Amino acid sequence: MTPSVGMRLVEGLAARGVNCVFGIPGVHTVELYRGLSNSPVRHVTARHEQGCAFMADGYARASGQVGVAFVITGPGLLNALTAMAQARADSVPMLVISGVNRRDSLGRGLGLLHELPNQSAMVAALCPTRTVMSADDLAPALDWAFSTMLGARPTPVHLEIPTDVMPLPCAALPAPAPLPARPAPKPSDLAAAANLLNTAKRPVILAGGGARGCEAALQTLVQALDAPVIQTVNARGMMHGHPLCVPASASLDAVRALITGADQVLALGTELGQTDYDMYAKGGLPDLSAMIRVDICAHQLNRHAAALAVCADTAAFLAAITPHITPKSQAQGAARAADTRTNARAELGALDPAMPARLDMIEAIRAALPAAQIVGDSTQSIYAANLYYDHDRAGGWFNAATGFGALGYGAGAAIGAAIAQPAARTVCIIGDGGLQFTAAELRTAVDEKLPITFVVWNNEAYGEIADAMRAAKTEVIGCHPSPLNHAAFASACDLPFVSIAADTELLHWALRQRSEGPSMIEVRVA
Amino acid sequence: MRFAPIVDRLSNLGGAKWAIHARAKEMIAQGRNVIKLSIGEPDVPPADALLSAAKAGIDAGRLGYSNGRGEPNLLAALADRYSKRTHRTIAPSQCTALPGTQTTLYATLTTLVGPGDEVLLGDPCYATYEGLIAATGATVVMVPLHAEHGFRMQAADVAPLITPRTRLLFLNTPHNPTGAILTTGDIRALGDLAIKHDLWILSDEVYEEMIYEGARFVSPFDMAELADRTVVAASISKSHAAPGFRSGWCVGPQEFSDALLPVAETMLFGNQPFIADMTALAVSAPSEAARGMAQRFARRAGIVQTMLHGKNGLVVHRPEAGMFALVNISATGQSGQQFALGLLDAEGVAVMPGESFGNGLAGWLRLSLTVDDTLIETACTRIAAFAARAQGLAA
Repeated sequence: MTPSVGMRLVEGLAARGVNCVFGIPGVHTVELYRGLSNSPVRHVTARHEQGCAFMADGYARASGQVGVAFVITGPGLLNALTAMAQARADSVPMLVISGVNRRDSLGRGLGLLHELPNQSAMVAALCPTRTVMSADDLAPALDWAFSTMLGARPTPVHLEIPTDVMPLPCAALPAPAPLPARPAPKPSDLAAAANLLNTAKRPVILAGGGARGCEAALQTLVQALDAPVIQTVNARGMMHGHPLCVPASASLDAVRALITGADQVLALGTELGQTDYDMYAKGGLPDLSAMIRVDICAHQLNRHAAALAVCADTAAFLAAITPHITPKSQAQGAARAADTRTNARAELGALDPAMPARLDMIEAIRAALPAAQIVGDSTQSIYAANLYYDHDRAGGWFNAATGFGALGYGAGAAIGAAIAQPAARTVCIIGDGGLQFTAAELRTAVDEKLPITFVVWNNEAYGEIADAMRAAKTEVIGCHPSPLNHAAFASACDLPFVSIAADTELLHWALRQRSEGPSMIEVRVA
Repeated sequence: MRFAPIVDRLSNLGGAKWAIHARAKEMIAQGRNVIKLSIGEPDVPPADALLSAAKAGIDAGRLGYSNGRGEPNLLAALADRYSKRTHRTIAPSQCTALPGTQTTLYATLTTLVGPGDEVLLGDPCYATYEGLIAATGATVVMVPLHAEHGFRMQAADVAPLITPRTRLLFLNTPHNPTGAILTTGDIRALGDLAIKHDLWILSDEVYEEMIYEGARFVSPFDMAELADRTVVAASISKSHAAPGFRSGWCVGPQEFSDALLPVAETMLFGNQPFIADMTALAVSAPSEAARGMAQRFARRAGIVQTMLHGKNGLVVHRPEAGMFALVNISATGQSGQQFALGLLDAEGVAVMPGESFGNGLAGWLRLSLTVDDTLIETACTRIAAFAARAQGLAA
């Protein structure tokens, strides 16, 4: 039989380095699944398309590659939209491939299965989208998708394939087009940046998600500049334990004081978003208009005033600028960073007396399982650590508690991360409320025998929201959905289970229990 | 002035649980007609023979100090009783007499656990247990007891709660307030966990003699493989209708008994010789008082079952022992606390809300079976009517 568009699509993905897709099949996507037969591409079956796209997100973050999701027309795609928005907010390259109804029905409202008024238009408001209208269009569409995801600021991309295109005969695809080079800094910008940095006496670096994957180059520049490096959540894990590392949020006064005391700020791949720079919406972020700002996205550069805006990929910038830097002779950066770390950490207790103990729990995970991937949901211990925590694995700390902030992210993302890094131990920290958003995905982890420990932070509440209602002096309403009976739920999922008090030693013990596949630890939070 | 940490540990574990009982007593003092099913007190006086033994002891001058373990005659009687029950030789030195089960549990827990330790306890439980454990500085870890398992503690619910800090499994069989009796299978499975994780088992068996016809009591202490890690506690308060005498005891391995002695000596230094004489008599034969009470309470549990089970959405959990029946009022949409308060005000019936015994009894009521059959019947009629009104049904 002549291979179909669906089969060639899977070949085209494999040719672009894709070795795993996360999906839920449907009658509209049978032809896509025909392509998976005898293919080197692994298929992981999710339980809901939102979890499926969160898996693609986690896979992309942990691997640095594109995460791919296969979903059906209509409901499947809409279920995935929330996860696609999370990926957009965090600049994660994710390819969502869906069906759509046959070409001659589009826009006609015939009442076909899974029909939407205008499916691609619904997605276009969120991220780039394209309909593959013929067999000939498949290769160009794939080249467009990968260059869009990887040639500029990473983003989710949607491809939809009409049901009558999927089975069309399709010739072998040409080799993938080379990816466009990510933008390098202009020489004039480089010279200006080097001049500002070489004359600065007390520089500070703000590193965001754009600096992920650049640990070695970043460390070289930071040391030459003797500059403390403040890390957003998406940059955490780099330079663990380094004297110049400031793994703390610029929402904290101590971190802001470090910025204020600097005579030059260099911002690398950060959108200066509220949840990293002003988590408590109190204002007062230091004036950054004298900064050098490096970002891959020209639009992003226009959103904040800067003395020098350099449109460049962070990796390209780091490679180009470092030879122009004259290493600083004075070594006071480490002292500035150390003071900031001490003061920033001390601020947690003032924000909430319970917060230091929550951070202790995260640090207990690091102590018990060195170099683990910690994938978080929106839960109290993650909030605490997002404010201050020095993870020990580059790229090994991420969550959805910042940016778009989609509750229920953790389970799916952890599954994707575990598949991307099979040799690593993965810990998913999720609240009892968040778990009930995507609890079904734990069964996916069981199917795939993934080494994930699900740590369920059980405060029997949407605790952070309840706190906010109390602070606003309004009655706490809707914040106490009853938690799952976690022992029974774990049993229903065939997950080994232990329940412990919120105590670092017990958590250490529980994490060190031998377990080949996934397991669950309930932490009972008083 | 500063108080010791125990005061903080117990600050939320005190009398608030008994608010409804206190309110009922207040209403009675004001002349209201209240059917009081809120507390379980024996419905007969102690047997004459026991009172005579106590009086004879007083007349004979049995009023001096005891030793730290208690009077030799009582310890010998206890050793004999438990030797017969266990089919092993229990030495008098394995027994310790103390004023009541509550005191005995306090001394035992103080001997076995302390700060940093975790104690596994069924939820629901008797109202003072949490406080007893908290007093030692140990942490209570609640094991859910499920109605579908007859409120019998299941090893499968215990296993995931065991950590390196777990020291003791606290059992209560027959159980207050559910009247559940652990089966041999239940105890073997729990005992396997205790052996595997080297846990003590503390078994409060104060309702041992108050089991209903057809039910069978088993104790972990009677199983040879658990004997070296099990302590049982009991008293004559329930079995012999003699709570005011405060006469209880514990029996356990010799090693435990030796460790308990200095603790008991610092607390009480033994018990009262004339009460020991009475207790020695009491424990040397099956209790007639208990047999009578068990018959009456079983009959009344049957009345509650007949009148309320399935009535207006109510569900009755029928006990196998003890003084109480449980009624689930979840169908009314109210909590046990709300229902009990409303019932007292509207119908003059005082019952304990299940919540007073733990989250595991949320939406339940505990009814004491220690009042006359006719009062039980009247109370059930009123409960059914109140439940109907709460749901907008015709009574």
